[in-house]
Amino acid sequence: MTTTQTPDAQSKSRGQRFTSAAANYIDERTSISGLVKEVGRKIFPDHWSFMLGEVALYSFIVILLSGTFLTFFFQASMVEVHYDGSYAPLKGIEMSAAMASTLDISFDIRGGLLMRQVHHWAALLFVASIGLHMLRVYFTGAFRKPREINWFIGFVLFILAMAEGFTGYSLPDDLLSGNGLRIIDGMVKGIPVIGTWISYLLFGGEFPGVDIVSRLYILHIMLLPAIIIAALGVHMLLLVINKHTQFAGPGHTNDNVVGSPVMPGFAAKAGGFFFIVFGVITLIASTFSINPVWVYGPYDPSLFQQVLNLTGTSDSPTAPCDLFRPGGRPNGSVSPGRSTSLRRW
Amino acid sequence: MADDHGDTAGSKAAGKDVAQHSAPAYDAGTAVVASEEVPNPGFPPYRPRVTDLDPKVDKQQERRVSALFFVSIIGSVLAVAAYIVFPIIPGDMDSVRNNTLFLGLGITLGLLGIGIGAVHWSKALMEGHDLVEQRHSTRGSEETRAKALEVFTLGNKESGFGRRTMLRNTLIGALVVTPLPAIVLFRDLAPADDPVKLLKHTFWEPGMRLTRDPSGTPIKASDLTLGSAFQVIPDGINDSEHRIEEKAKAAVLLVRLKPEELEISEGRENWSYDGIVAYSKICTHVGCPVALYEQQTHHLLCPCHQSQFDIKREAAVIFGPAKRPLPQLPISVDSEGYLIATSDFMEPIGPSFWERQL
Repeated sequence: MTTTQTPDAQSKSRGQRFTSAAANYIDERTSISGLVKEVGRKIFPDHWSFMLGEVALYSFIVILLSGTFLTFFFQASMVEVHYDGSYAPLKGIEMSAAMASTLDISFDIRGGLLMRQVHHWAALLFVASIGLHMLRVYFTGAFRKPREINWFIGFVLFILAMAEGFTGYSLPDDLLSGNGLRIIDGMVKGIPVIGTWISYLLFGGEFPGVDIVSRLYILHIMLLPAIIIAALGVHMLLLVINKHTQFAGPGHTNDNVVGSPVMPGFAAKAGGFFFIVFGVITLIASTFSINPVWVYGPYDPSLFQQVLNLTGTSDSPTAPCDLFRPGGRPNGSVSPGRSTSLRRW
Repeated sequence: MADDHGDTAGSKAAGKDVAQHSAPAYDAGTAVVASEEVPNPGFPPYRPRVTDLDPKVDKQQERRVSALFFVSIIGSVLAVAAYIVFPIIPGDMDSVRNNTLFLGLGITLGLLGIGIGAVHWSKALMEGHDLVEQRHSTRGSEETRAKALEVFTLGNKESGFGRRTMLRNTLIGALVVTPLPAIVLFRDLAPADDPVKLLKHTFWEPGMRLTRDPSGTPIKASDLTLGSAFQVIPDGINDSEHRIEEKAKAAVLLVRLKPEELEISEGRENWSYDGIVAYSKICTHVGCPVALYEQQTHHLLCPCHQSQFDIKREAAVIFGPAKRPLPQLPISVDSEGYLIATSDFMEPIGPSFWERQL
């Protein structure tokens, strides 16, 4: 008696028979029918602001997908190499393997630049949507009992997202990430009593050393994502246990939830919305450049990458001499790549 | 029990059975309770959509969703085509842009087609009635809680965890101590040196020539015209084994002012040469390169957090989060007229750290 054959089994189509056989196979081994019964028609209230958390979740999935692609090409190593890729202005320049492989992803791998930009834009959207989601939860009071623990887990996720942002920002080992790391080094050194030693151990010696990129890499692609996924799992579980909050409205009471059931309305909307979020990120990534590391060049502790035009004119009497880039040096030793966007205040 | 309030039944059997839970009583706490509550008007009547009323529109929307899914298929195929049609030609930046753009647009179409199609399907064609589900208190029922308590009581009784205090306390002690080896294991993340000693010294040595960054060519005092600024590194640093680490500490800015413009404090009289002064380029706030020099005001500006230092007053902080002036490098000229350092920095450069003595 291991089949679910019913008297009308013969009248079912092949597809139906296959589906019921497959469902039976799985249920007899997992008793998943209980779960489907419990949550399959769970009601989700509908309000645009409930999308913000969804955006965060979906952009995180996009980050995981694009990031996995990037790991296949990225070399988390600070070994000095001479760049020999197809970006001519930096040819022959000494840089770390991390920077060189970032340039290779951008200029020699088809779709590599697209994936880098998808990853970066999705990361920005991730943090931004977490921020907005938290504001929504805060201002609607949705953090109150019994949801305090979930609010705290969300807060931890926010911090972890920023940690992911920082570690990812540091990986290409370009001028921007080097200066970012230097600021972090300064902050770590400022920790009372143990700061000097933490910085020393973190960087494997003096700043910047040759270890930090590979160390941040393992945090960025394994440890932090694992913690985020676990915390997200608990976040979702508690959401299901506590049920969603809802706005006041006719027929809405403290004791009910009004909305559409997971199967099929909410699943279609949420699943479709994942594709919309993914699509919009891809659209932005394919049309707007972000973090052009080739403009900044490799890290040099005495250079700064940002050129802010604050005064508007270069002949202003208070215009400071631009020491950001070595392009204007009197001896004429212009480092290619860094002089491309030489501007003066 | 899930219950729809429209005019159709059909979902009554499904959904979570929560009928046994009585509605939880809420304590108003400190909230203001309105004395004249508006009675719950109940659910508004379901307003049928056009697709509910007109089978023709229903069919039309169905075709529209299907068309969106078809657009998605085309987009994904176009993305594959773009991957082949727009290859990256080494050295041709336009090809990188085209590859990124058209591949990206194809994927975008593939994704948005599915996304917009599915959402439209849900909104226009799927059963549109709101359903209702009862909330139940997150708190477990009294019966469940009593059983859980019994589990713990039994566990405690059978193990003797609460009774055998010595056993329990030594176990806690052992658990606290076990992670110690894991912490110690991390010592070799960095070499055996003392970081404090390393932080207090830079590459500069007495008699070492000041050279241009990054070429390493020495600088004569006469190379500096009034008002000019040079980025400087110590002679030989480019051949150093730890070039970047050394440069991160030894980078210097060289500026020439009129000698009478400089306010020189006691003990620093021979640290400058004919109005030429050298200051560490590493910000004392968090270590960014102090990369901007204002020729007219003689101010140095750190672009990271806008700390400003006044060169005329020995790089004193005049604005921003930095707390200490930039350390000055004592300089002079050698017999050939080249600028040299007469010593290392007299204090550690860069941001503060715990062991730094002020």
